[in-house]
Amino acid sequence: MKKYYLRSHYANEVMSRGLLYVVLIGLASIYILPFIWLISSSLKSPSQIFVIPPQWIPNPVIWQNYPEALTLMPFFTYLKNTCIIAFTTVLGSLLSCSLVAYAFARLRWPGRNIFFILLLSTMMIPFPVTMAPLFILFSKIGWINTFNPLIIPAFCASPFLTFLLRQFFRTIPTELSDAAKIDGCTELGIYSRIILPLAKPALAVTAIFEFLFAWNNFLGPLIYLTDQSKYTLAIGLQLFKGAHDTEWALQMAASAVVILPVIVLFFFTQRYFIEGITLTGMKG
Amino acid sequence: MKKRVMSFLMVLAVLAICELSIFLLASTAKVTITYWHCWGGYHAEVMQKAGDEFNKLHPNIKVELLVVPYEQLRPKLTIAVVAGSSPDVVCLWDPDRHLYERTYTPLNDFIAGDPDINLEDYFPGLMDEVTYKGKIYGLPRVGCSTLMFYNKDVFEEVGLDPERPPGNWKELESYSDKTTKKDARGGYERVGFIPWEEAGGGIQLPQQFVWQVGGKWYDPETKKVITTSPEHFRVFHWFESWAEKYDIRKISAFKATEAGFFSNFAGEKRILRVNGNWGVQDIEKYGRKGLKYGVTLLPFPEGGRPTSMFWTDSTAVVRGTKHLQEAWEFVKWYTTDGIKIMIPIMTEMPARYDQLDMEVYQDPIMQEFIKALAYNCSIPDFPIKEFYQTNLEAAVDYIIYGKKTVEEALAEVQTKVQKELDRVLAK
Amino acid sequence: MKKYVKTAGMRTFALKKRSKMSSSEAVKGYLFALPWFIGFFVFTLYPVMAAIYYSFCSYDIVSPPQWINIANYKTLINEDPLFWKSLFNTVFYTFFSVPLGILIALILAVLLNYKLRGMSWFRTIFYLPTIVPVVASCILWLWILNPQFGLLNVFLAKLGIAGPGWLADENWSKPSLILMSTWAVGGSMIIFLAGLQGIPRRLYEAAELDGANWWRKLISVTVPMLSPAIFFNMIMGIIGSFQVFTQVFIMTDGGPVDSTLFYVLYLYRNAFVYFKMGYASAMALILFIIILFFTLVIVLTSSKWVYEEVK
Repeated sequence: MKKYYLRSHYANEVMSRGLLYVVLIGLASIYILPFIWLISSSLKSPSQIFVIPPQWIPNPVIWQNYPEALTLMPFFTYLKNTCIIAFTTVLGSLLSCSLVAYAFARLRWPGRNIFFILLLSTMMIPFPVTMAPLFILFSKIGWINTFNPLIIPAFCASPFLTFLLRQFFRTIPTELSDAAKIDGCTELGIYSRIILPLAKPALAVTAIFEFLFAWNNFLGPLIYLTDQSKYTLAIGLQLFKGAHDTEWALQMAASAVVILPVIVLFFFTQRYFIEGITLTGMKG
Repeated sequence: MKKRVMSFLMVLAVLAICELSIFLLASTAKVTITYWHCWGGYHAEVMQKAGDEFNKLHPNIKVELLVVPYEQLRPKLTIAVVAGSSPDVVCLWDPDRHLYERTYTPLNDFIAGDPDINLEDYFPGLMDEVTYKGKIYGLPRVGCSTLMFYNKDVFEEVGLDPERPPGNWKELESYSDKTTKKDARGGYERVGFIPWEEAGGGIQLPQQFVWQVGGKWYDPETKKVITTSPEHFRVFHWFESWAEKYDIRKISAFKATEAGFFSNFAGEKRILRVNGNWGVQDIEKYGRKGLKYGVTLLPFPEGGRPTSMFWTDSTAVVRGTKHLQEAWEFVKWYTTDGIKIMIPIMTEMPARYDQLDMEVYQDPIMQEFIKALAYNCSIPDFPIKEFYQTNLEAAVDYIIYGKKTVEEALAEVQTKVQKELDRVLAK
Repeated sequence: MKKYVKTAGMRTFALKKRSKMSSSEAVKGYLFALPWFIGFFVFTLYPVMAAIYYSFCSYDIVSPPQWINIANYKTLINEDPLFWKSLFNTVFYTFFSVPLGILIALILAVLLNYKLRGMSWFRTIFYLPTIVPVVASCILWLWILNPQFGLLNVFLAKLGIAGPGWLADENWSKPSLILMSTWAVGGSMIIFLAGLQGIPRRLYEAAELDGANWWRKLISVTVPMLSPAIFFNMIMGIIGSFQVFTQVFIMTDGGPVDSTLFYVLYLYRNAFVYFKMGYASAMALILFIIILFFTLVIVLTSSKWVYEEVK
């Protein structure tokens, strides 16, 4: 009887696994399409990109697009600048957003809820109307043409990521922090030894989001930087537009190179929020 | 006594040497000026090359170029001017002329005092683009004219004479009908001509057609916006019937295949297409080898006149620059000598007649564009060009989709633009 | 006397200790939140105040602002049909794309949470759309949605359906953009994935013991435990959808016949194409109030459906 049950259970499992794969492969082929088109276009000559109906396989394959794109755009300079901005803002975000999220999620203080709504509200003002005054502000403190306007605000707890971490922090049982408090742990200690380790998945997501934002941010660097040697990769991608015409193939090639680090980063950090930290010890 | 005199003279000598060296250093001290332009891609390289050449020829001035993507140049510049951290020289491509005096420095005095710069040397219409209320704010660097390109191979295919392009509106329509081809599913495989669209750089065909039959878009004396004259109605009713005949939804579906700007002509999806001289380069880049094409003036009806539209990139000195003299020197050199370095690589047209002696302009197609310069039209002294154009484009949209009547849509544009114009002029 | 003072003193000390604890927590709260306070007062307050001030002025950026009272607001509400059109377009878009986006992100996250071989590749693929530069995505979707040769209509034709004009048809342009938004749900998806990690196994085990099938487990365990993440994605979805800009800026510029003229696109046009910054600021303020309203509704009802450990 048991054997029969196990066998049909096993068969069920195989079937549902197979079904899952089928569904995933079906969906994935839609989702990967743009990326394939990007790569395909990056290897074409200009006359082939807009041929209708589109050709997926370039013929001939123009490998030179890649070195050409990377020399037309000062790639390594822009890469260096973008890395500086990306790494420091990820650090700043992880630090400041987690501290502030802790305050909103785990501490009680007067005005907390009002300030939380205020935090959210700052995301509701469309960018065109704050661009000019913000620029004037930065100009007055001499930050134009430096990386400061792009880096320092990341150390001040951006609303989006702070909100994200607040949500996660609130899913951690209060018993854990209460127990630590009884043991004589300081607030900072609870934050660093209890909350942070348990929120590793959320912190990983925060890091990825901030990195992606810094990597792809175009408008901020463009407005604040007035020296071409300080430009970032995101700006560089836009500069393939000439007087009347965009160098599509080169732009696609450059885009492919620019997104590669992010893909690699994502691929290797996913384990922090997938295979994640098992909570069985605490919650099991 | 002698010793004292000697030491006194020595001190004087030392002082004199110090002063002299400071003076020498100061006069060879470099002044750095910044130039923001919006030409990316390969053009950026060429602009930089010209900039480097300027630096070589002018040892006491160093110009630093910065490329800014086209759509962001004006926002970035305006914000910078307000905050006091603007560049010295900038690429002037600014339709809001009433804001010129706050953003750029008038160059009238420099031009008057310089024997090399004469207003008559410039192509017609170009200087108008940078002038407002008598003050000139920039020197045109490149200019252009527009002609209609036509595909000789397709003409042959459908039995039309490839050496005889359409000469008036009736012929234009019939040529378009003959060269249009539908595919098996009833959509368009290729379309002859679409009369209401934009030809790039803000060049709008509706404007051209109205000029052809004697209409005007603005009266600078009465400061009245004109979009409801009989000429306007004639042209837009023509568009309406054309859109109906060709079925606007099928046309829009067909137009959605166009991502690259001119590549549709090069890809032989459009047989008759208006464009500027840069279209030649596009055909070389996107078209098949051996594509036979010709250029001709946009057809005008009997009793009408030939027209061409143009676009210009000028170089201007920003208001509040600390290095006025150096900025002017750069602007002048860049648009007179500098352009000669850029032209062979960019296949743009310069802005002055005396710059046409280059080899690239001896080409017969280029000669046609040069001849067409005489017919350049523009709207004089009008401040809010972009507002006008955006509203006009929206009106065209509503008309051809059948959402509003011609009279209704055009009257709306007139009221709206007039209101905005009055508000701006009253300031 | 001494005893009394001593006792009184101890009582006062005991009272002081209790209030000291909650006031010390208040102090800690402010200290932890200090980075945000600094950023808010230095970087956010001034631009927002400036924007509010400009909304009551006529301001072309290069000339000083001129106070015109509530004229901008009056014009927007009474005389500008494009204001209402853009608002309608945006609300329409938000109304469909937010729930759809959350649903699809949730489904994908649940599917991708299984520990099967090759899953990390699948997850990366589903996250790709978020990483690809917007310009590239837009061009690609212009092609996919191409009414004659695009992938979508070619596929529909195989099923015998005549596909519509998508972006070229004013009735289908918004649905096209909504469709496009469902493809870039990678961000919401990984938030759900991270959230799924926090669901204790014992809950699923308990449900299984009760004889729950996969659907029951989904509804009774997964969704409630993910409610904080759903709350987040919903609010961020609304805030984001109301401000959608780049796609329409690149792909349609508001057309055809203003069917994709979204609010922030119209706002941007007024700010940086017509240089009517005062008018744009008034638009910004109105949008702010609208978004705040919807957000507050969700926040205030959240205690009813969001399950959190912290009260």
